[in-house]
Amino acid sequence: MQQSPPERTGQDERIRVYWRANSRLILVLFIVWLLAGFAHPPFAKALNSITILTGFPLGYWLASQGSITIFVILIFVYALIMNNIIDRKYGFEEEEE
Amino acid sequence: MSQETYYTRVSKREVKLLQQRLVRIYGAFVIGLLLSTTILAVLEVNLGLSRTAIGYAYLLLTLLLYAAIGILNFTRRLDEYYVAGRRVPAFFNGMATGADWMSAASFISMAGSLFVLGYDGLAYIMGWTGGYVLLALFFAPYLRKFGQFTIPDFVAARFPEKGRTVRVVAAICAIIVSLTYVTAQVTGVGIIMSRIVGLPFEVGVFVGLAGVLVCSFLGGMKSITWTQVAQYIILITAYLIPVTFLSAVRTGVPISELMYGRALQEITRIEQQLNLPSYIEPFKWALSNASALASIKQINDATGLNLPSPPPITVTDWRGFPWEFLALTFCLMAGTAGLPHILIRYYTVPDPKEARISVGWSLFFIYLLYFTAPAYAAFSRWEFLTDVIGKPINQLPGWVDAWARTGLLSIRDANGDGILQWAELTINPDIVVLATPEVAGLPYTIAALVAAGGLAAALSTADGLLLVIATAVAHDIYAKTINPNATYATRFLMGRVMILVAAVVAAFLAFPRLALIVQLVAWAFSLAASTFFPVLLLGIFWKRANAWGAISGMIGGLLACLIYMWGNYLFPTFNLFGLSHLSSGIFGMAVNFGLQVGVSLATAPPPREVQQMVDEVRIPVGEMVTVPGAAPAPGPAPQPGADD
Repeated sequence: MQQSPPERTGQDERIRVYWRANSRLILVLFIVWLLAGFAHPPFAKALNSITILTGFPLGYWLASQGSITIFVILIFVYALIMNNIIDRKYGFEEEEE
Repeated sequence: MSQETYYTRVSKREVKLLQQRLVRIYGAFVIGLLLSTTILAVLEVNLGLSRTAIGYAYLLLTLLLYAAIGILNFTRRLDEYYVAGRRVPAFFNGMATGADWMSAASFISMAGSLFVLGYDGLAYIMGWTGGYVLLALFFAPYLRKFGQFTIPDFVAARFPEKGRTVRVVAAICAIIVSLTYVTAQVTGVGIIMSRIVGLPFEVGVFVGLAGVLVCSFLGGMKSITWTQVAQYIILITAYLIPVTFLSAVRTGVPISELMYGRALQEITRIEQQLNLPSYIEPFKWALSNASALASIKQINDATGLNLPSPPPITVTDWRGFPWEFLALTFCLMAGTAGLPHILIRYYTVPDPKEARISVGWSLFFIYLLYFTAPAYAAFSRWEFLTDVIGKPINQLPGWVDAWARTGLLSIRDANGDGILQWAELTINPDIVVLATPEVAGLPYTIAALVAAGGLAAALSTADGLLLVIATAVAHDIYAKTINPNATYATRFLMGRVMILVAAVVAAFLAFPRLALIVQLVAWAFSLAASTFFPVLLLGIFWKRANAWGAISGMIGGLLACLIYMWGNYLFPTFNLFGLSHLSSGIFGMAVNFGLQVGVSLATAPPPREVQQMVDEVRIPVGEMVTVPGAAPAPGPAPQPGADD
């Protein structure tokens, strides 16, 4: 990059704080993902004694519908927060032509 | 201006216009599909159109459609051939990824596996969806920003100290994983063809492959993408219609995903009455080497070799523990995020922000099928338990007889009482999806539509995989390693020739119909999890990772995975916490991460330009300026002369 040193440092700093904000969001969503995918199966047998909706045993429902619905939502949440809030806040918006 | 630009930037407006056009085209296609299905069904019911005619109608119409899309998208540009010109809108890339991802196995066999495995099968549902979250958080936007052609391109640039070695190792891994996977698809194509129109298996394989080739040979990724969108529409329509009708017939509500709760409840009630093992109870699996023994026998019989075979072993000590379920789920997730044919789909969107959204659409379109698969399994089980089991053998429903003739279902009245018991019934799991139209009392047209859907699922996955194999050979091994001075025309020709070669190799691998192939596909996830996943993750998120770390990590991870896999496959007594060979990726991943961190820290940090490249990859706008090791620098080029 053909930039003078101070500009370069400013740019580096901007990338650093942006990356920290991104990493923090990733970490939060990653933990939600871990919980959604791996916290309920060990207790599936006990959860199955609870019945929900049209007769689903809760343990079975979480693994067949609950977790995967959360997965879809997580991805859209990440994309929307990044594209509309974090990118904007740190000035990495689309350069419109 | 040369012919090749790595990256012709498209404006937001262009993408928007393209998107509007696509919505109109594919909207018309959906209407056409529903109309022609209705017309065929009406013709069948009222005029007695024969089953063969309907089968051929679906086969010809769909194959012609794929061929037409292939021909219309003929291209002479390398960026269109390899990455569809990077102008695929997020929504449509999501659909294409859905078709790319969902194979014959997802379409036909998954519901059947759930039918057999009960709760334990849900590891596949969660594993094959959860991986997309990893893809979205860790890979997709960064790969898009990096923006070249292949995954080996990325690792070669990220680890330039040993760029060539890393590239070749990664390319070979990609070829092995994709070739086993595509062989399974080709087998699926042959089986479905023989079922729709009664062609012999081998002929079916060739007709199907011809369809794939017309498409990928002419237009590469560009035509593959637009074919995959059409294939997604066919496969999801074909998947949702039968079970929706079945749900309406059995429960009065045409929402199978909601109503199969009632099926689960009925199943449990009947199981208790008949003293059968519970469908919803978790962690019932045992470790066994039965499939290893069967594979060894098959290979010995076919080749005349005399491979030694271990004694049959079954280990049941770990029943009731969740470890295998959790480990398998995790391996499938990490493997999904590391599969090259899925990763490269995110090179085809216009920019990193679109890539983020596109992963969401991908999983949404996959979700529609995976959300429904357990409903198929539950309704089928309910059907079997109420209308088949415990009935006099001479009064079974008509569809049972029809499927018994195909060999997918067999009945043996072991105790001679004329009543069918659970143990007297042998079911091929594929019947769950294939027989549902008949069980729901739908005309044969719908059954043919289901077969066309399975064909679409197999062909779309095969398309994507063949392109990965061809690119790995033509681009990574030939153009980037063996002959960096190859002309544009030679590189293009190589790309086309390699698609042909890969297709022929896959066909010959498919002919013997080895049980081992199915096993290899299941292992592909552990292999990808042990090799690509950790290297990509640390490559993007840890600037200190260097080439020595990456190489030792990939090799160590692969070895650890293979050792556990083979040890456990042959001798199930060799296990930790009851983990099976299917989850051996856990060990590969652990070794890979450990070695990568350890070896990287013990050796010199990567050059400064790598750090700069990583910084650039992390910014979601603009173009790449630094691409280490990509000499002669291809540059991120709309400017003239930025070619190789």
